[in-house]
Amino acid sequence: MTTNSRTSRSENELVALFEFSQVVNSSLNLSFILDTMLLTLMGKLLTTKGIVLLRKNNKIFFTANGKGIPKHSLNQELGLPRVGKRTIRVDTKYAESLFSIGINIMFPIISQEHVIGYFGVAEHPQRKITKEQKAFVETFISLSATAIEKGLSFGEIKKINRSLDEKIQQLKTLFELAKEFGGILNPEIVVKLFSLTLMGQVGTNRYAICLKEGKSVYSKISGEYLETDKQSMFQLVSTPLLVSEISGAKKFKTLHEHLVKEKIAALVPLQMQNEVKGVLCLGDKLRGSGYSQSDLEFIFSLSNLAFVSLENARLFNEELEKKKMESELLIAREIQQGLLPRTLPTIEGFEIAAENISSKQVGGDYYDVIPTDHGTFIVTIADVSGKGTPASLLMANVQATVHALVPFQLALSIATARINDLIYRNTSSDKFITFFWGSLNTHTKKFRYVNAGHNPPFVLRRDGTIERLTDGGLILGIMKTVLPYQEGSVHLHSGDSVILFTDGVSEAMDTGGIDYTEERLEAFVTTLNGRTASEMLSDIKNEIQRYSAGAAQSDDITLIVFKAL
Amino acid sequence: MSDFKVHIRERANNIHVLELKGYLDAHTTPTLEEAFQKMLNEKKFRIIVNCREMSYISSAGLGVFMAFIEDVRSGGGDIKLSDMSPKVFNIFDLLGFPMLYDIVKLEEDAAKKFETP
Repeated sequence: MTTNSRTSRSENELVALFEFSQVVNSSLNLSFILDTMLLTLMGKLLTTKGIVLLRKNNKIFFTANGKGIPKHSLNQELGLPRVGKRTIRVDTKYAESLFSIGINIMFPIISQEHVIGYFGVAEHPQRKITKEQKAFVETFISLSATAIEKGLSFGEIKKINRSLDEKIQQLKTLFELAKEFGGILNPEIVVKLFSLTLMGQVGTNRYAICLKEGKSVYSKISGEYLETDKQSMFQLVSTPLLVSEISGAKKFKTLHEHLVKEKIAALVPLQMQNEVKGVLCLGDKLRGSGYSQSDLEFIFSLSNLAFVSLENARLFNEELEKKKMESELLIAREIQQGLLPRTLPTIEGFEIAAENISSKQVGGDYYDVIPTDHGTFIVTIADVSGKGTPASLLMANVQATVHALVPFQLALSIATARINDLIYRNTSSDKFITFFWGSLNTHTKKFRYVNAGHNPPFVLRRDGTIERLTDGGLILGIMKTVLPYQEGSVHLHSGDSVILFTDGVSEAMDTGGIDYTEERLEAFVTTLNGRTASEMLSDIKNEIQRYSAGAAQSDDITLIVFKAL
Repeated sequence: MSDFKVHIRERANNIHVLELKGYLDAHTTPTLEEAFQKMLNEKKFRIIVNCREMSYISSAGLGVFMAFIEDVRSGGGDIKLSDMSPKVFNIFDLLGFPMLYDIVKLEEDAAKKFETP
């Protein structure tokens, strides 16, 4: 070789190096950089096989690019026993997998004193690499090193950017749903939106929502196996987990088998105030590889958002139901209060007092004092079965019937039979009324009455003895009148009182749930001799309130007291 | 209130095009669901979704595509998507939709794909 040709060759080499360095350093695309580097070096060394290893960490490298080698050797991890800044001879002891595909020599790629990878080639046994070639390769590689590093970090940044984009997308979704869920009070729509989002974001359309209490929701999962394993599932799931994670756990062997049978890949807890109230079971992902940690975190947030919304919907509907019931009761109470006499008539020669204390549920007590055209007064007390609106409506019926019948001056027994037949025809047989009415003649001071199954009123004689008004017949509304109602009568003398009451009085309960009883009432009534009608009424009321202090009033309380002067 | 509309248009070869317009979010997904359901009911399984005028798609919106794809394919057809803005494509791409769906530049390309599967 002449000096001239040698000079021109090194000039050529310099030009090639310069051009390469310009091309490579202006690109951020790693595979382009490696392609250019490999092809140039292979051309220079006249070899048919070349490979670039890049360092992952410590002694772990991966095959980042290669020419003339089998495809499956690319993107493989590979451990090197020694890493150094010298050229390495590859053989059966050092990087055998590379040796087996023909690579036998590797040059280190050094950037800032660190080995960041290797460039390997197949050196031909007959054409050994010359010193000059080696020098060229080394210069060349050191020129490429910066470009490779730049390309690597650019790739890394691209990856980070993408995962940031993914996170932003997830947050957007959560934000949007939080907004949306807040306004939905229909559980079906919540579940629908949840499942669409799950499908869209994560790519599964098979899932089950297993609830600790209440009905579970299944979408394309039979759930047959899950029901039996609820217990151990709730024991297991406190954070999101992959089903594959529990494949080894003996304790959850059957659960694992069943989950696999239902093709469930992941479990996510549904929490309310840090308590697991449900478990979301997820089928396989239809797109991409399995569930990543980031997927599970997203699903965890999403499903808990949905779950809180479901709970809110449930509570709201409960509240709505309660409000509805309350307003119904309010109506019932209004009906009832409207039917009771606002003021009592004055009865010549008698004192009279009456009061109704309505319970929270509205019991359906009724009382009335109706003057007739013939100097008599009709005194009525009744208790309609049931509570609330139905009871108050039935009570309205009774009141109307009583008022309609009074002017006809029928005998009480016949009128009672009429009322019974009317109520029997117009209500179901589980509706009935205990009913007592009497006609008080102010001239004769005779009180004629019929008692249709009502708690017998007391007659408290002036001398302190007690009689009960029991004559009558069956409760109203149970069956057609077959046996006529019996009429009773009692003569009242000055100082005698009649005390009428409903079972709200005798069955008032103390805090232990024990009834006051008619016996106790009778004993108390005997102590009331000498009191006026309104004093007696308030005494009994106070006695009942004293007895049931602290307990809720379970039924209406109604009292009528009249006393012959 | 976000606005979203679906317009259905018929092409040659029994292909139907759903033109999506506006903002497809949790609120407006029922509109798209109805459109797909209509296609299924009428046994029109060759569907191109033209996204030229779609400005945004939420995960719930993406879920609609997932919900119908199996039925459409088992009916012998496909859902192909076209004319996405880069912003919209980015959302599809991030969530791995290109793995499951044909997403092409132009509606014509999608139509051709139906002819030569």
